[in-house]
Amino acid sequence: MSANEKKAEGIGLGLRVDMAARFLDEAPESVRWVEVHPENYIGRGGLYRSYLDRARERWPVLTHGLSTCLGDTEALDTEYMGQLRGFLGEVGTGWHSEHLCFGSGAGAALHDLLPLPFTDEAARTAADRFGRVRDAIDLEFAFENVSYYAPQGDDGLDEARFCAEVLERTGGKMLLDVNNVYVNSRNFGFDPRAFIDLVPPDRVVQMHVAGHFVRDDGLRIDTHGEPVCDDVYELLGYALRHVGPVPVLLERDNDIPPLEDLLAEVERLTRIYDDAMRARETGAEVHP
Amino acid sequence: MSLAEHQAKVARVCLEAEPSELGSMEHADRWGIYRTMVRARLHRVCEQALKRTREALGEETFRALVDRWLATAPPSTRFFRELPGEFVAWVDATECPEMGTPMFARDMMRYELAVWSVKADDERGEPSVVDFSFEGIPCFSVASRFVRVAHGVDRRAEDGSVDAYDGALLVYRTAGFTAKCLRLNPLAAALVEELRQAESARRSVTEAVQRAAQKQGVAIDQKLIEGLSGLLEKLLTRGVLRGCLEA
Repeated sequence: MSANEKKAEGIGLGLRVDMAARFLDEAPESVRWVEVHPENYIGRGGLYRSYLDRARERWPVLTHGLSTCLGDTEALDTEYMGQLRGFLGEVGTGWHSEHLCFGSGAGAALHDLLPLPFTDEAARTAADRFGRVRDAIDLEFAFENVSYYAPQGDDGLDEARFCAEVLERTGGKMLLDVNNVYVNSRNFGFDPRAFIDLVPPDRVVQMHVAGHFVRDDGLRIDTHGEPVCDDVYELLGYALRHVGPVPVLLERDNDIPPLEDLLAEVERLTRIYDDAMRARETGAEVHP
Repeated sequence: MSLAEHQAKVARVCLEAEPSELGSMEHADRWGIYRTMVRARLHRVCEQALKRTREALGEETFRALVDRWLATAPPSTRFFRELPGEFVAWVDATECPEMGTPMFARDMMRYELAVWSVKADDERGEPSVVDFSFEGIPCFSVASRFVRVAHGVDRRAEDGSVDAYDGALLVYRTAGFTAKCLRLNPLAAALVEELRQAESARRSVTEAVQRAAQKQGVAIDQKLIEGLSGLLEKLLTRGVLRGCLEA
């Protein structure tokens, strides 16, 4: 069975150029799959392409988009959708995911993930775009909950209800970013477990965890540039017990540490993953 | 306010030099975080791609130039790696007095963009080639860029100064994925320019050489042929010239 035909499960790592050379040389077995951003590879050759080709030989690949944000109100780029569909087929991903946010305005590409207001109009817009992207790529499609800093609703759990609304309208899947739930819960004062309880477990296909930065004023910023904190590890265990066995990605995009440090995080995540699955099998407390 | 209007407003807040609407937004301090993050990322990729241009212009001038680009011609590409290209295209199409000091700044910027770009150029889909011949149509690597210059911006003195150089730079990607550069004197530049155009115009190597000699007002004599042989050997051994298009 080729790597492409294997199913992504357990703990994966994002393929990033800053760590790719050593990561690919060592091909650590603890990493079970890799995630790539199509925008970094579509229409690109050279070193990036060579890294992707090597990764595909070794691991199943899942894809996660950055530039087709589901809350964007601008027309869907059909040419890019064709390129994306071709790329997803080439790497053999089991599904594709994008962010439930917006990333453009007035014709400008902002190259960031900006929060949608938790309104009916935004839910309709996102659901409509979700459906059109899913049709264009002809593949299972999931959206990711994002972190945000400017309040968008009346209380923190409005975001969970907003996600549930989009899931309901689309019948689609969700990539549950546990770090984002945690960051938002701390910034807006809600119980992150209550958020996770509102997520229908059968709709979650994947999870993300990452580190975040705590400013002097206490505001948490989702940087993907620090180690995962203990609270997020703990919340991941809770989410896994709630959802079941879905692949979990360790995201590290900035200040990437030596490979040993990343693998130590992967090992800790693996233990949490295994413990959560055992707890589900033995009927141990699912919501401790 | 509709969702589209809200998004346009946030885009303006993030990109305008003086975000006049930010102060009136609810939770302005938090939206200010997005302005900082968006701008930091866009500035950073331009700084990475155009490091020496930034050094030559000075950090403050370069930053002001990027700020003006963001305010007047916001990025449109979804591909992060293409942002420096959009910035350079804007600088080239815009009156930017700050690019006049030092004199070599524009050449440096185009050269650095070529270096940045060849590293990402997609070699898949390159046409099939056969061995090089003078009767064939030349075929260059897609991971190569021809840059006309008035300054030798590929080399700098220790004090950062750059000599005048009337010719061109041929930037290409090596098999090890690094970017390298060949300096081309005026005649070599004319030859390479014609050879590169010959590929799309479906002209033979011989025709390209004749056109270059004519444009330069030189005879195709023993001296030119010797120089041409040396140039072609360099291009072929470096993989910049892949051979000739398959018939």
